[in-house]
Amino acid sequence: MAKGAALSEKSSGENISHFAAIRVRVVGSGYLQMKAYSLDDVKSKVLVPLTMQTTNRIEPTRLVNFMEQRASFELKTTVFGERFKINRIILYMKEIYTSYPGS
Amino acid sequence: MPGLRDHKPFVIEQFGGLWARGDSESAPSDHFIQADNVKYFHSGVETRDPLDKYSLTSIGHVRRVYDYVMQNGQSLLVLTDGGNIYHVIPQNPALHITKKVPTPRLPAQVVHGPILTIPAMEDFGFVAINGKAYITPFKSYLNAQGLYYELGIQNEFLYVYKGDGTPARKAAGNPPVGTPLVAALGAAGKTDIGVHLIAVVYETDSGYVTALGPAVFANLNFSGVNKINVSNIPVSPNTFVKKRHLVSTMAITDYNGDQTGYQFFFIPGGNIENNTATTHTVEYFDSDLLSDASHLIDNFSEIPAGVNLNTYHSRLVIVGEYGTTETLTGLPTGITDNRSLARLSMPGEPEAFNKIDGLIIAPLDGNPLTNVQEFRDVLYLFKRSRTYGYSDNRDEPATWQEEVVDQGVGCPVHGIATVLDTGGANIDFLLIADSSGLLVFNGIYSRPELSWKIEDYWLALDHNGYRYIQIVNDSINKKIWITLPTAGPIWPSDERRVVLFADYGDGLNAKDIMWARWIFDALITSVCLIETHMLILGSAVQNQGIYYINNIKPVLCDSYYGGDLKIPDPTIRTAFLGE
Repeated sequence: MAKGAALSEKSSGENISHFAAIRVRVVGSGYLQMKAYSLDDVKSKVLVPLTMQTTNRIEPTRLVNFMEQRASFELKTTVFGERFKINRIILYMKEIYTSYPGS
Repeated sequence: MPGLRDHKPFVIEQFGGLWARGDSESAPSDHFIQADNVKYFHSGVETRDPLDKYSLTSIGHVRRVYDYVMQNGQSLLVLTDGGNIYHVIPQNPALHITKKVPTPRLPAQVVHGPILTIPAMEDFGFVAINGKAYITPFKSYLNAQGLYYELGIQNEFLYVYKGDGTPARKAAGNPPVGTPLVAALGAAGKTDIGVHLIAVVYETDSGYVTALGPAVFANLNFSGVNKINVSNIPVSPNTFVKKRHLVSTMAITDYNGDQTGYQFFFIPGGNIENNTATTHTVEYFDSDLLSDASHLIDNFSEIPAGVNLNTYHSRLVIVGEYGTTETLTGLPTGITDNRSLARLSMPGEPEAFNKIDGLIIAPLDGNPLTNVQEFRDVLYLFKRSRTYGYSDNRDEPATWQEEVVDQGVGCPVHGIATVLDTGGANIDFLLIADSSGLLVFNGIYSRPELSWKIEDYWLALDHNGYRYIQIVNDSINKKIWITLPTAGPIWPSDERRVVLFADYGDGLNAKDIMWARWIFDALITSVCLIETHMLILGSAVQNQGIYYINNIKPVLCDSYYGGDLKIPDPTIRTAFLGE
């Protein structure tokens, strides 16, 4: 099961996870820019932005395909007049390795 | 919940706001390690409301804004560079922006002023009493250790502003002067027999009654069978003097020539309802003399400026004075100001400050008094890191007992949250900005701090710039906004462009409060709430002027006097998640 903070929610081993997708219940206008970061922001990956609508019956999903021991996800708007309203963020992840080779 | 190709879903649907405590990896999964320009709603997060211009043109570099509650509505007092205070009154239709009744505000306003100009004024303290604004100018001083501290400007005074656009004037007023007052026996009447002294006091348009004058009082041996004709009554050159009153001693046996050594009373029928007549006839027995006027002799005619004003048991309280030529006389060697002095007016007379016993001296630890607040019938005085309590014992303030509440927690000059449009205590707690964080004070300081989740952020703020912190508490919508000093190197942006935002809708405690940073393209110097729901922001340097948060603005952008700009990248960033 996915964990949050190593301190407050404990870690289950810091195994290497595959972050497959992110699903966001979001309405608004413009594009919701998304980016995944590794620990210490050493690696990052820009995701395909979500196009927001003022109403939406679909919670859009974006592929992430990011493999790290932990990852943080940035969601933002960057353009004049854009706005977002987020109710839920769902991350799909799976533990796939216990360690990197040789580490 | 089904997975996605064996990938388990991890759902974040309860957002806990910004986490800036310890390493970013210590953030709980429902918190953000970055939360910029967002606000919260139940189980959600969204882009903050945009900024809008409060008036048609900029008023200039704003240093401080207060909500001034007049008798007939609310308005703003605005201090700009150069020490100018303006009075900005919104016009009809009344400001009216709520989510349920979104009526656009028209920017039509009346701007009075400057109603007060004091070039050395860097900041000011303010309190409204009965519709009148009491204003005390102050500035920052730098000590030998490089620390800033704030005191009232030396040889400056408390001012009163009526709210009508006429310039503010010094509170209180000078006593009558001029040639000796004359009293003579008049037509047949009835009085007690004996020597009586008669003097005059002025009453100003703010209700202040001056000390006795002129320099030589009238002295007459009453016959008992004549009325008393008083003549040569002084006329004040000041237009704000609206009335005069005759005061008298009872019959004096063996008068010793010390005219202020006797008790004076207001003479029934001794009111002169103008500032022009120079004669008046009275007739009274000593037993008619009930209302004491002796205390007026010891009142300040000009009240030294401090850093903060508030009320306690119908008294006006002023703290943190530097002093004036009058009050700095005779200080012990090495003492250069009155930084630990609080002065309290007479109850119900906000300009009547007794020089002798209308004061409290807080412990002389070298730090100036910074703030004052009544809470649950106790008067609290604050220093940078001290809190003292005083209780009214129905005697003069100089006799009130002191209680040390906390010797490690205090607050800066604007460090007590203003609640809605009034002082800090219209709800049953105070929010206080201390070096250790934002604290709830309910008689004692509650721990952990409300800012516990963002402790690293708070501790990175420049402690020598705490004078820039100002807090407003919207107790209706359960939100807090805090202006900030600059931050340390871990937060690279200039935090004076940032307003720290907190939503305590889920609970006013360290665990449930949700934080975010609101960033603007302007240096935010001051915040206040007007009409209980409209957040006003004052800014200086870039895009200076008065702004407000417009929650019904159709286009989501920040509108400055220099043009429209995008809201700086509203951003959330989750905690580091993993297995």
